[in-house]
Amino acid sequence: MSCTGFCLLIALLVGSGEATETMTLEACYQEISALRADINLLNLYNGLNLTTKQIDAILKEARSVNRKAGAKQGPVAKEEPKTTLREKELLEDLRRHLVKNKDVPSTLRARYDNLRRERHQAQVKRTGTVGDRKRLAQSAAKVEALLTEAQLEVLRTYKPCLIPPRDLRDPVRVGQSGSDTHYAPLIERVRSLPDFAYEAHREKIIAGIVEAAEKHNGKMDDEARTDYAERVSEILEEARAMDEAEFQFNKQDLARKIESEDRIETIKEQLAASGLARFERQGQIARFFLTPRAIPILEKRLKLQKAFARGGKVDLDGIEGAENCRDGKCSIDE
Amino acid sequence: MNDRSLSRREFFSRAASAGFKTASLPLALKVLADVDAAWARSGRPFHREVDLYRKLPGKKIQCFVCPLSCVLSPGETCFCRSRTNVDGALYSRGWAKPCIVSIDPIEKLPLNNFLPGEKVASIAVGGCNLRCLYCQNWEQSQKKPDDVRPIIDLEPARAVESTRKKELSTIAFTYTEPAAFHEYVMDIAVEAQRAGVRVVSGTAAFINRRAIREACKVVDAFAVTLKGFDETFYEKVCGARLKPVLNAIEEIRSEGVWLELTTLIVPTYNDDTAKVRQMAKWIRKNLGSKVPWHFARFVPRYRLKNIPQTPVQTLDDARRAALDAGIEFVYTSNIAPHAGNHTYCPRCKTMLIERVGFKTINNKIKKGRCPCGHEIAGTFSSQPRSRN
Repeated sequence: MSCTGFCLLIALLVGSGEATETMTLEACYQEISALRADINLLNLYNGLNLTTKQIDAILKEARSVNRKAGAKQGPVAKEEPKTTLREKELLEDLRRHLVKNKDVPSTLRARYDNLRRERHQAQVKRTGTVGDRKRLAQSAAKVEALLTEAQLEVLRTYKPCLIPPRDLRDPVRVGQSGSDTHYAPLIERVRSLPDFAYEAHREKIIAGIVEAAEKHNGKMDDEARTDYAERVSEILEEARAMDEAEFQFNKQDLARKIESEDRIETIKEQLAASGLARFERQGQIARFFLTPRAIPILEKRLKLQKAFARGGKVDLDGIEGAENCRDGKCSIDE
Repeated sequence: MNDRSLSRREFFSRAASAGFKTASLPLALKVLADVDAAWARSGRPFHREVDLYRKLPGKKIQCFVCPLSCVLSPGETCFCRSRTNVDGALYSRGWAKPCIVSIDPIEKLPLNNFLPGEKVASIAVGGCNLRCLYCQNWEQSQKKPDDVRPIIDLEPARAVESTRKKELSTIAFTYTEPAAFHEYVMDIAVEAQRAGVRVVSGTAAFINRRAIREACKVVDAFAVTLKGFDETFYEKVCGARLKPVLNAIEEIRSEGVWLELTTLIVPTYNDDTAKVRQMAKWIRKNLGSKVPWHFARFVPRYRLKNIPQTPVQTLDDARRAALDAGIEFVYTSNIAPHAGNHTYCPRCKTMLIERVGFKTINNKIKKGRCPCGHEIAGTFSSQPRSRN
């Protein structure tokens, strides 16, 4: 093989390697996005504790909605690659003309108009007509009727997440200690600081709390930020002035006072008050239960629940049991 | 290794030093014990003398609070880690030294038919006379009261006063075992009764009849965990015994104090539906059908981390078995939302109190009755003590 040929081969291999890497990365991004969507759904389903009967009925509705939508969107999806190819050719032609600094010919203008019309029609078909949206709302209402008030409450407060919050995945258990909000330990740490350390770091601590609040609940304007910082400062001073017993009785209240306004919650409450919450809820139901992604997940969940089999019985004599105390000989030496 | 030989002077000097240290150690310990005893005798509030014990020869004592009846020599501490023999007298180590004070929903004890929706001031002191392998508060319960942090100075009068100041009507002893700090419970409860504040207790009821009878006079409701229904389970998994627990439960019932039972269902350990039926039969026969029964979901904790959490189906089966056996109020806990979180009318089956976990969404009970007219067992408004 000549030197040139060898170099060409290397360039080709390197080039194709890059292309493969790019493709793999793109596929990876898509995969991640799909995984995120599935995990969001799984967290919600796990938090709702759906019964077998509920899953069965929801699946029926989701399948029906997606069958109808699939029948309409099938031809659109079939046309998609052809349209994309035509768009690519059109844009190449357009660039050619513009490079030469020539006027865009009327034929090209006509081709562009046709393509735009076709794209719009496909878009309408994809999102559905008013009638389709009505049918989707009806299905969402049917699913809504299947859920209990308590499940709807969980749905209302659900924020899509990868790692579920403690109260969704692992609710605070009966008789379990330590269910404070995250501000209570923070106030406790601030209380434990000696005066000189608190004075030295006061501004920094308050700025940190304000920053965290803005990250959680959205940016505040300057006035609101100053008010909030003053409030936080007062609460921290109040907490530091309390003795331990008084603080323990009041720490949850202090933590609640420090929480900034959750704007999403406020909007939801305003929605509920205005009677628009029903539409919001149906939108959520459609997004979480009637999406095509929900079907395989719910099918697997149904199979798992139907196949439930209890484990055997442990041999208690065979385990290393709890520490025991017999015949009163159970004293502990100091 | 240092191979330098010692000089004669160094040898004698070191020997004398070692001898002095060895000889003075028991003396130092004795001085410390005497100081401790003198401190206790001086009436320091943090070392309250226990009421239920007897003195034995040789400055030994025997504790009578729980069925373990620990016999202690001076300086020794009970199995619960909460009571110490100080120079022949038994003192409570945890009196007025709680490690947890928090405001909780009453449903967390769990009590679902006693003032639902009410907030309570929860108080816990370190120590416990059980050794449950799955304890979820082992950081507090499996330590001496003085080894747990924080230690909060809270004398009974202050506990009651602070509760009232927070506009709460009830104090709850929970998280750890109230039997381990029985003296503190009693002192607060007496003070609370005077001030018109209610007292509820979340307990394993591994306590002697005399102590529980004493508590029944001042406690308004008990949430008792009946952990299983055979002696082997109690011995191997909880380090306790079943019979005294059943005795204490019967005692509470016969004293007419409001009672709710909880059983934590641990997969492969006590999830046998036949055993649940057996328990239900005992409850119906000895306590009646109106005692609410909670089935709590196990979550891997402490020394049972190798067991998975309880499947929902297992809890459903247990609940169904209890309902079929005629228990009127059967709940599922530690899983929300779930059909077993709610309170239903035993007659018309209407959902009366709808909950998500501990949060009440709807309450249709009016003056202790279902809209159908049926009287619901429990306490639903600020009326004096209720009876099951």
